Amino acid sequence: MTSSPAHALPVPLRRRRDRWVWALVVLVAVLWSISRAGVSGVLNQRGFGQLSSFFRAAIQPELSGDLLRIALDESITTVSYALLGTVLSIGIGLVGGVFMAESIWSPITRRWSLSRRFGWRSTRALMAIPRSIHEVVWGLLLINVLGNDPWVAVIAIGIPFGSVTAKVFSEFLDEVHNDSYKALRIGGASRLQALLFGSMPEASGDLLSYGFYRLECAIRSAAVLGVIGAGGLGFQLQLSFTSLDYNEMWTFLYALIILSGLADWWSSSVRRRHASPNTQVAEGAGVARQPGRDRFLSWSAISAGLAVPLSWWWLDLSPSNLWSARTQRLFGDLVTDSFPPTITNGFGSLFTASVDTVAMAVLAIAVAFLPATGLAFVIARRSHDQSTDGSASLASEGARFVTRLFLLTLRAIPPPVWAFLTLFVLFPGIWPGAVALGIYNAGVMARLQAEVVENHDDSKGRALEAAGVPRVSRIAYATAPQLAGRFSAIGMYRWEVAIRETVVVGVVGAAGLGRVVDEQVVRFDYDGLTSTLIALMIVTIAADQISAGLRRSLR
Amino acid sequence: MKNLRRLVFALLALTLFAAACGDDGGDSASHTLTIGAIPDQDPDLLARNYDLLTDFLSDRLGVSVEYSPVAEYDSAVTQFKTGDLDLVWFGGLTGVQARLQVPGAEAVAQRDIDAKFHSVFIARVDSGIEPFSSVDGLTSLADHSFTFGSESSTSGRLMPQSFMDQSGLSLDELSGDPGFSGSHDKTIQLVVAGTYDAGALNEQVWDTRLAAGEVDLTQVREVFRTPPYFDYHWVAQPALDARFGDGFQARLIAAFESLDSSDPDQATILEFFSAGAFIGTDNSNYDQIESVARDSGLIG
Repeated sequence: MTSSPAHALPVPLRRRRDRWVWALVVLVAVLWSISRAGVSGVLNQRGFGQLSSFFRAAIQPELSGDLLRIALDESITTVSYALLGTVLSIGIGLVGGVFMAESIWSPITRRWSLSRRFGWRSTRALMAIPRSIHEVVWGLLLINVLGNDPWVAVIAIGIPFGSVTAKVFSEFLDEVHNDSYKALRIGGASRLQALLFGSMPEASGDLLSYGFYRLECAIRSAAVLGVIGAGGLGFQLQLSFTSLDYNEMWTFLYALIILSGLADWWSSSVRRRHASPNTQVAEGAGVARQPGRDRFLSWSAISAGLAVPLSWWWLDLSPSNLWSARTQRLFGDLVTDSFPPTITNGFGSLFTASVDTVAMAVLAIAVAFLPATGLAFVIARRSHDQSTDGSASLASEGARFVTRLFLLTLRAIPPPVWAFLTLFVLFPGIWPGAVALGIYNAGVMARLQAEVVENHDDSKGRALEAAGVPRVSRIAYATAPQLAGRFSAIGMYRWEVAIRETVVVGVVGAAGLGRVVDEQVVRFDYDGLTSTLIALMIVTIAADQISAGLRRSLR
Repeated sequence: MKNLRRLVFALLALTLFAAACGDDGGDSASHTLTIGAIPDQDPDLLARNYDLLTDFLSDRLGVSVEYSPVAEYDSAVTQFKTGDLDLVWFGGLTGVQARLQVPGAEAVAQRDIDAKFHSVFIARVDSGIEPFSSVDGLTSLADHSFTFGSESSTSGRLMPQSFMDQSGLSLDELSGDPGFSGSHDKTIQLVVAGTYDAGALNEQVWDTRLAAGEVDLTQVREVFRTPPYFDYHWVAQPALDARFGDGFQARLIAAFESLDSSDPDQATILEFFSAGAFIGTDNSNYDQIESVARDSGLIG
């Protein structure tokens, strides 16, 4: 970081001390959240029977021909939303990322001027706004403007995902920019030119690979969007959920699990091959492939390319709806309805709800972190695992498959459904929301953590293994210290996400901003909703700054 | 990576191509009557078997009829406001909200039972709440936890809240804040589970689930049935006659009134709405709902 002012301590020492400070901050935050949520009278043991009847229905999904046909149709709709939403988000990310990149703001030789620093920070803060609002809220606002139109789901996914993608892409640009960027800048190129021709070519591959990763997230988002009536599997799930037909719910949940599983497999295959295209050797045939030409990647590119117009056709998207006279009129109405913001039940209650939202999100990640970490090690595929004898690897292969399926299920069941289920066994308040979001996020975190395990340099661990050190000790002394930082970064990132997810678990009662949003929506109190969303933005942006600080200290 | 970069261009080109080929919808939409319904009792049934209803209406009215399912009460209101839905099966409250957002919209038909609809208060057997027969008895809910159904539900929220208010029971006297389970069925299950001591819901859902033996009566029982009020009804956009020809709205009402349970298909349609028959109605029947909703701040 060119911007760091000089410090008295040598860098590694200062970082180490920072780490302890941050560990203390996290500990205090978790303890404070626990005390806010309360510890006595939380568990409702009478409800376990109700909870188990939901899971018992898993072995008997409704398999009538009609319902399966609906599930198939709606699966295509869900995939179409996810795909087009992702394409839109990549577009937004590509443009937004350039303007958020540190390199386009920072001078290469001199120190940062105050105005430049301010410009960069405020651009980043501005770009954080779209992602601080949940897809469901975007969908809700868009439905007021576009009505019952498939664009609602596509844009509701595209905008917040675009904002996340922009942030990630800006980081890619900053990571790769050094040599070619500097060379171009010194040669007299403008910042934008240097970024476009120096950094962009390399970062754009990473961006596309990241786009494939977002595809699975988009499928889950498309499912959650069903609750506002955007069609697809989530919508059918919501209909069956209203009348609590568990057998029908499982039919759609299985469809979601299959879709997420396929998207997960596709995206991780593309990413693995993208990361190391030359190490892939054609199996069996013994013919090494030409470097840079991977048939799987070509196939992926072609099918994704074909799927876009097909999705467009399937959803019957009509661009003219985006700027039709009706859309313009309804947009004007929405703006009039939403401004100026008013505070519905006093500033105090909005503040309390915001604080509860933060506590709920902290507890969600605290609940998810350890189980997710454990499961991440089960599903991680390490290169040296394959060297062990056949029977052992068959068993671990089986455990890996079952665990992956389990994690897929955790994240395929949408948070509002988890919230209702946890309400059977936990009394209303912060806890059921925290546990619901924790279960869902554990499914996501374990997958991210497994990737970290797969990609980290394990030479120390292998050295210890060669010396005969048992596995547990190897993890404790070699792997854990190396991974703790990355895992914490993932935890912080999911904490930010969990904050905005609290708006979809309002069913858990008067805890957090979810309940506030629900009530304002049914009252069509959009002035009040604006204030709630502003509160949510402030909380999310603050969380973003805190987690950025923590990640810096871990780097 | 080269492949991935090519993909970008392929995507862009194909998207532009698809955009150029996409049809603009035209004005065929204005010749289709689009109907919808709030997701109240068994919304999945209607959403997946609506062709009986659309075929029937299309046959009687001579226009094409489309059913557009809706997942939430408020999005039904919003889609009525944006004009995406021409005719919607609303609850009492959502119907009033819809008419307030679309001046000139009219309540056109209701079920035979909707003039005298009731809510049911249920409570856990072990909660100490004993059955009672007058509104005043609702004060016995004090110091117990309680859940409504969906926030926008008339029978699961608005009227129960209004009757609690009449009895002199303030929501602050409940143990904790009232919950919003999300639907009538969820209210039953959360009370059975013991998450809440008591709840309120639509009498029809309760009666249907009881008759089907789906309620665990060792855990939960009915403690009170409210006095009657007007509830569900069909609300139509104001300009239907202008769009579909003079007298269209009258023919629409007549079509609903003609639904006859002796015809098997029509009997199924009536069953989806748990109706014996449909009858005409008008806006003034929902004045009580409107004033109650105003009092509780659900409409501005």
